[in-house]
Amino acid sequence: MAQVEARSLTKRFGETTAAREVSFVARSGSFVVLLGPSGCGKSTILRMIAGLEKPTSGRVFIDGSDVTDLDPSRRRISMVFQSYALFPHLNAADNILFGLKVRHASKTEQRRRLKRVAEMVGLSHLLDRKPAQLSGGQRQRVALARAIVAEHPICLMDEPLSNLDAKLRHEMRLELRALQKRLEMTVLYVTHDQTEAMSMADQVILLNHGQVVQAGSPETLYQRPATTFAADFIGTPPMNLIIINETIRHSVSGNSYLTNLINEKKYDGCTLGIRPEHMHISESGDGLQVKVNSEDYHGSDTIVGVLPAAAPDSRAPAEIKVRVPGRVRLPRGRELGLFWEKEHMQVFGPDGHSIPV
Amino acid sequence: MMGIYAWLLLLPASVLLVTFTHYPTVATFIHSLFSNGTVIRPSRFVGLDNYRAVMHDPVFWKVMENTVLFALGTVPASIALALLMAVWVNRRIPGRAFVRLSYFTPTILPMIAVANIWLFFYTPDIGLLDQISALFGGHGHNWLGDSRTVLWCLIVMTIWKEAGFFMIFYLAALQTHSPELEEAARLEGASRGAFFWRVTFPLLMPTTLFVFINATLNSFKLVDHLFILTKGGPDNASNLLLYYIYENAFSFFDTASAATLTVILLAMLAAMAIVQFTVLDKRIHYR
Repeated sequence: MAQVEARSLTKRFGETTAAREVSFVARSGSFVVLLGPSGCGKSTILRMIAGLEKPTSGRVFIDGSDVTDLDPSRRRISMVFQSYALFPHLNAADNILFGLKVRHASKTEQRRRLKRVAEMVGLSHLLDRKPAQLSGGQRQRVALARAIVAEHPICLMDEPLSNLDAKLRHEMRLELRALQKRLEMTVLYVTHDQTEAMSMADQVILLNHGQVVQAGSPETLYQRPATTFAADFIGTPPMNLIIINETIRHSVSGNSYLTNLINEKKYDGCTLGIRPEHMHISESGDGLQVKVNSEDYHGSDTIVGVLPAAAPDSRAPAEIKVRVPGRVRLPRGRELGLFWEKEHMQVFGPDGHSIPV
Repeated sequence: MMGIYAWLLLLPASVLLVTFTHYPTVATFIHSLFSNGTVIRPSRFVGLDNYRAVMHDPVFWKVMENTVLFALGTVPASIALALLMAVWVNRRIPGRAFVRLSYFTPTILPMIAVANIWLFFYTPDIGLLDQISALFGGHGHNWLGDSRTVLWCLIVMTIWKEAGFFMIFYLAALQTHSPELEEAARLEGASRGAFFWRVTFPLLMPTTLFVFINATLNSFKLVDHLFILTKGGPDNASNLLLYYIYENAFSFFDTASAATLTVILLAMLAAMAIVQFTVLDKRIHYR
């Protein structure tokens, strides 16, 4: 049992507010990702939960008890730092055992735990190496081993994979998730990489400018983004956001729900959100009239970038991305009609918040 | 062709090194094997006679004892003090810049000036030290005139002068340490003391070695204060090896003895540097 709760956490550094009224609950044994662009305050929130930073206001609860004024070492948490924070003069084994040594655990206990953890993260053959003699991925494993050897129920991770290459990052994602499940740890994980969030999290807390934008399962965030920020931040490429204006009205042909919707007065200035994979090229040529502008081949699919046909060339609007399976070759300037199912479309009000259709 | 080019680049530095370091060293060594020449008795080769004479000189042994005591008294204390001050001013304390500056000030003062300041502290009866002790009912004491206290007076003053300089090296080293290391240690439950002894201190070992060598060399090199304070007295109680060399050469005009003592000093310093680098080097973590 180790539930972490942040209640109205606020942190100000002089004039700037790093976190504003942030509240969330990380259930025991769940993998919670704090996601957001750099400078959104996610690391600060993590540090407040760790006790390395004192909140300006708000409280932190672990298993229902208020730990806001408790020393970091007494919160039953461990932490993996972005830089790994390994002690450069100690070998991997001594780095892992640092906490046990300062707390004077018995030698047999140290050996037993070291053996178990080293096997778990696959470091058994590297224990006598100094950090400088280890690769980035191996250092990452030492940092991870140091965090789990304490057998604390809560582990905080601050962008732990950001210094690894893409392939290693992918492997470590799977390993981290498996390890978290096996040890039944509550993990709070900070990242700016939405792929990490989507693939690992039970719950994603999306942050922007120090505030929670949306919290929910990865599926919810992907399928039902609460704001245009969430829609734009999650997904590669992100959700297409089309502002309803004269250009768009002139670009829609045929008689469908879409024609009716965009001509309704109350949706003026609103934004439509459609995922690239939900956009289809219509056989009839009806729907949103667009011109092909670019294409980006990814192997399993091709991302075709199009512009509304009625858009004046002088003022280039953002490209609309369409995901087409396989390899398609469309000449630049080719005119197409796009359509999508109504249930795959989101509408955001002029303030950027999702509204029911 | 490349060889010539390389030698040309090395030439300016080599000329200076040879002229002012290597040639004098060799010349001194040769001179120490010859007797003092006078008008009627020209200098002649005497082998190790000069060394034998020095070994039988009781003043030499007194000076050696003083030098070793001076080194033992100043080196560890000034290093410890420097480290303490550096750790202290590396923290977020109010008036940090001011504290750093005040710790560093003794370093920018010339030793002669420092000696003059401390002369005022040590002066019997009217000096600062005696005035303070008088407040507590103490009696005047001739600090520099008493052979039991004079060396310690010099040691205290030298520590005061040197510690600030060594602090700068420690401070620079401390600022390269990632603050995340301390945070990681805090989360692991390490107290400030545990973190210092298990992480900070071992990581500072390269700096400590550097400072240790410099402090040791300085303890043999620094004699300026003797000119102001004691001239080696009373009864050679504060005489140090380098000052004794100076006395031999320029007061007694016994250049053969001075050359001999210089060679002994050089040999001692070289031996210490070798020991420090070979023994300590193995136990130090370099990044």
